[in-house]
Amino acid sequence: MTPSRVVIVGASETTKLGRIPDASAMELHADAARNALRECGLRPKDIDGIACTGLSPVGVAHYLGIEPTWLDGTTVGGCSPLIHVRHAIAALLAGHCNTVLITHGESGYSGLGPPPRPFDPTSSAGQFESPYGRMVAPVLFPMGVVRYMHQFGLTAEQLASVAVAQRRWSSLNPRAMMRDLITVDDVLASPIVCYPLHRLECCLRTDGGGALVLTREAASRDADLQHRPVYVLGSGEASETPMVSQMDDLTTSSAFRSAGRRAFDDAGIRHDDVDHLMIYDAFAHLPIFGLEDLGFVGRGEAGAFISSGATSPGGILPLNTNGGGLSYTHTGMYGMFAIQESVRQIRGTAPAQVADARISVVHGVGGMFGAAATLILGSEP
Amino acid sequence: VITTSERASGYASRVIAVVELDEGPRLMTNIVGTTEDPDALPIGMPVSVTFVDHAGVMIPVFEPAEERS
Repeated sequence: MTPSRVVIVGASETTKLGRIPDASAMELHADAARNALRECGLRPKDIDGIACTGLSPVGVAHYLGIEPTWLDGTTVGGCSPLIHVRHAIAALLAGHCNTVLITHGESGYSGLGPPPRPFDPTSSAGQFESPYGRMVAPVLFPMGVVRYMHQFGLTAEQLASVAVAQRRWSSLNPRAMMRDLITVDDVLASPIVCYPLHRLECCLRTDGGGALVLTREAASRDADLQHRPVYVLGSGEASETPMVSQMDDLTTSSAFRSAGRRAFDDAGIRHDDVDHLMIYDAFAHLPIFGLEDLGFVGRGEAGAFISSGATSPGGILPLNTNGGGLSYTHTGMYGMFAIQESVRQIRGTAPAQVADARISVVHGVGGMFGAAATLILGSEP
Repeated sequence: VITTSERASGYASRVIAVVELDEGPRLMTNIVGTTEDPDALPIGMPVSVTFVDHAGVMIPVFEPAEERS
């Protein structure tokens, strides 16, 4: 049952990251794909499975010259690439295909991509939430954290410390967009985007992409790989609600809990086995929710845990070591970049490398706590 | 009660909140008839319903409840 026989043999981001005014979203998919294929000595004709979000997998396959026998275009927000990995494992183990390419590319800053998806006024959110304001991510996401601050006593300073901790990581990463160290006071002095979130507690908007190549372990033994394969030890996916106002509890995500529990059970690991952790940080409170909902700390404890330095360089649980969506990059759907950093850590090639990282957990969010997915990666089966 | 105000893109600032009805259901709404100061909008503050015109449709919003005697 444990999908330990599927490995990541190629993983790369786009050559450039951040501001890429001369590349369309399609070219970002393709650039990342070519980089990832080069790593594992493969060419487009060797690929028979493709998955992506943002653009149609039909278009990306055709652009690259791939004739797929398996496609997945699951689009449930920023965690979609994690779900693509989970689906690819099933497809590979079922024999539906032999080598899967998962691509991502977004011109989130330069806007050389598809227009934003039109908002559906007949959806539940269109009818029951949108009449009350401009329902964009910085308005919807922080709904729960106000309640959380009231319920658990999370302070503004502790929330700000999430951004401070991640900037400490990005200061070690030449590819990160924001690298200057910041203090809690800097965060709290930055403009309020939407109460209670300050600008430095909100993600970046950037251009970039990434790609992964997955195959069965047996096939990887004959391949010409630049890096040792990374095992996918476990995975989980879940959804809760398309309306943040209808979460069962605004201070905890049932989708986070469900996806995480499934992935841990799948991998057969415990929390103290985890050397490295990525939690999708569209906004500063997401790592707080993630640490608790994945079970790394108890309810109400994550703010103090992060502000203590436990997740910073030198801490006991290295978290968002690329700098995250707050400081590294955030093209719109960040999940692919979280996976890429976990792969680098397991390979031992990360700019801010965690010593002897053997098990890494990647956790992603889709929509406003609407969906979630978790992957557990390892250096050994 | 949750407050968020928005000033970007020409939208007027508003207090957006999730309100729980005495009967149990929760809904997204606006808090009206109050300031946009978070300190004046404590979580758990009692509110009562009123209705406003939104593009020709009357929708429920909430205002601070009057003191119950």
